[in-house]
Amino acid sequence: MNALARLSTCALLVVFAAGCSDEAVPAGGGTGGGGNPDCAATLTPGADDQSVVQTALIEASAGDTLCFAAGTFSFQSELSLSASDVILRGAGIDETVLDFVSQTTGANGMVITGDRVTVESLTAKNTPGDGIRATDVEDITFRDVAVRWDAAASTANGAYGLYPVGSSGVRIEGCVVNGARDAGIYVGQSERILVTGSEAHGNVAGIEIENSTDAEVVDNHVHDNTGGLLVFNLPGLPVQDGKRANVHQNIVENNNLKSFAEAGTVVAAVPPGIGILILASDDNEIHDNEIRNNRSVGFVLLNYTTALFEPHNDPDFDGFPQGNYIHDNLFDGNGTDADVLVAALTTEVPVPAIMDDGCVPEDTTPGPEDVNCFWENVDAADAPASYYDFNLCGDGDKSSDIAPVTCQHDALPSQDP
Amino acid sequence: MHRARWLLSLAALVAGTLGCSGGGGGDAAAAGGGSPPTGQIPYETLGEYGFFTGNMVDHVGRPGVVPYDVNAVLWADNATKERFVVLPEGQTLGWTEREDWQVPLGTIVIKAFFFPEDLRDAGGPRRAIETRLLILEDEGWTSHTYVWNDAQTEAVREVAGKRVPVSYLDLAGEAQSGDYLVPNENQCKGCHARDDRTELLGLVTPQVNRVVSRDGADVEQLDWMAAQGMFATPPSPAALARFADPFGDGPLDARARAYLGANCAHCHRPGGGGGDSGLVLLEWETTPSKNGVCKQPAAAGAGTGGRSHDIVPGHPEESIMPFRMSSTDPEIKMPELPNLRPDEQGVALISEWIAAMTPEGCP
Repeated sequence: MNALARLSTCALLVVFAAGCSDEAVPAGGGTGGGGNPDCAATLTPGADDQSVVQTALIEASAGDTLCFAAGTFSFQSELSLSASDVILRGAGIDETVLDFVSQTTGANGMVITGDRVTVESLTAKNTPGDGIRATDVEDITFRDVAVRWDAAASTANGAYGLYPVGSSGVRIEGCVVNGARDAGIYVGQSERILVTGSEAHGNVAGIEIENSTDAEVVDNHVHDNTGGLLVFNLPGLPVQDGKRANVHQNIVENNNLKSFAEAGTVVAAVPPGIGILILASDDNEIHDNEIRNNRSVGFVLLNYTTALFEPHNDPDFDGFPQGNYIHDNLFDGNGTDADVLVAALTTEVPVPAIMDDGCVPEDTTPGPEDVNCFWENVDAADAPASYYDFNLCGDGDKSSDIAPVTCQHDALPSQDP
Repeated sequence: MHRARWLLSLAALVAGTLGCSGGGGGDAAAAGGGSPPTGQIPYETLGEYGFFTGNMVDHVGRPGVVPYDVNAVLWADNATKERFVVLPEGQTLGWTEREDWQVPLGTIVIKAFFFPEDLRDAGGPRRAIETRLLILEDEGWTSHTYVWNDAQTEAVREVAGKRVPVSYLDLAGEAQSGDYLVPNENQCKGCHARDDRTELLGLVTPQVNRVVSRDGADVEQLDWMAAQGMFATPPSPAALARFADPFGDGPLDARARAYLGANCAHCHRPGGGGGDSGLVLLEWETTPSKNGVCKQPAAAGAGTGGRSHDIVPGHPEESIMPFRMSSTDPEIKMPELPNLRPDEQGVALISEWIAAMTPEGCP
């Protein structure tokens, strides 16, 4: 090797190099083995949590489990984890608390850029910005993680709670997000996603799947948000054409919270009282959900309309939802006190359970696979759920006749990322 | 891994002890201001590398520790900076049209941060705060930060970052004080990471293609570097792109793009940390919508400030970009890291650029 040859030219180097010893291990006051053989290190709360925890995150290597003891850790800056194949494990939701109330730098409480990272059994709270973000990773898991803000519905709260973006393989299970000023559980520009057994409440949007493909959202409780469950495609993003969200067996109820979204954000356009909303996204399957007591409307299918959203200049963006399949959902008590934006779409009171904007792309001839199908949705009396095509684009007729859209598509698969 | 450590030790020591081949003799320890290295790369102290001659804090590079300057400087809370590159002995750089130079294994890039007592006299008395290293190892560039002691005699490796109180007189002669933020080692990647690799930001063609003062003469920096034997094939500066000085006398559009390229594009580019936003602020990306013109924010949260578009032509006061650049709120501010103070000069430049855009407004 050249380097070795160079070495021999300089005896002094040999002297210096011979002094090489083990790497120094920076001391961390709150770091120890902790006696748990599963833990590469156990962190305990102390006077210098920022330095101790961040150092441990930097020094973590593949295969390590970093354990966080019960108690409250306090941070002034964003935490970051760039190592792959690492588990961050607390003692349980609300047992281990990462408190960011004093944070003054960094846009997230924690940002993860390593692949195959698991965060489990802890709470992150009061981040001034987003809670826990995972950016452009493979296989991120959040299990039994809570993200909360102590102040209810405050505009000072952060935007997103759990925030995987640009990622492949996202698993969110047993999590709770409360108080996010945008979306509590937000999955953006990702693929292969499972959101299950989780609770989102007191957020502007409970769960949002945005510009993402192949998601399964199952067995979640989405309640008391402004809008419950949103499946969105938005223009101007690097990843487009999100599709195939399989949304089923969720309870989506009482999403009537007054919006506290920042003006200018997309969710600020979402009126209160929305159960489930599909915006511009294709080939999703929404089935076997219980959708109750959302005061504006139970389910809405919407194109990216400039009546609600800002005009865009993205030539590749397809703003029309197509090929969606909405079936076997239970609708009960929705639309009884609709927000003015929704009430304006129909003269019916309560607002029909299913509201369909009826828009189809111009200059195309939709095939059967492009039709948005509705099948065997029912109300509390097990009668067919009410339906209304409000003809937003003015290219058809307003109609309560569900027959033209009574059809079925193939079922979507489960996800096991 | 073990082999990489060895190689690196060698490269660094070659750099630090060029005296061996350059005739100066084995005075690395004394000249570098520190002790002979006692551990493996990364050393615990800056002195162990032996980069500098004389009083170490003056950052006078020994032969082979080659200074370089850039056209568009990253804002760093009023800190002044010096940059060096150290190639393994006998190795050269391969330049490219723009980025992604070929860099030999073992190369070390150095950037030091200072606060002059008086910003109006940048060459006057100053205090060194931190000296950062990027070292090219087998697994890619690794980043290390060394924080200077109060006595200014040594800088010690700091993994987890640090807040350092600083005070100085600003360009208006007013006393300023506050914390300066030394990034943690992960935060280095916040700017330098692209598609999971760590990349160089300053040592790219349009940044170093400029006139510099060397040995009392104004010279093309690329020519001068070539004269130091740093390139296998000397580049032709006149044929290559160069960023404008954002605060020089070039055309407004070129200055604004150079500023955004240097301060924002490390994240706001495909593969960068802010790539998911769809905003591309590379100096050479001129598609208006990608630059933010009439582009809706993706996930800005409070960062919108109630505004609907990143840039509204003709209307900086309606545009998100200068709003976020002006903020100190961690949820709102841009860049996210590492600065704590807005760059008022930069905000003014971008505001002027937006104000001059036509046609006015967004649909």
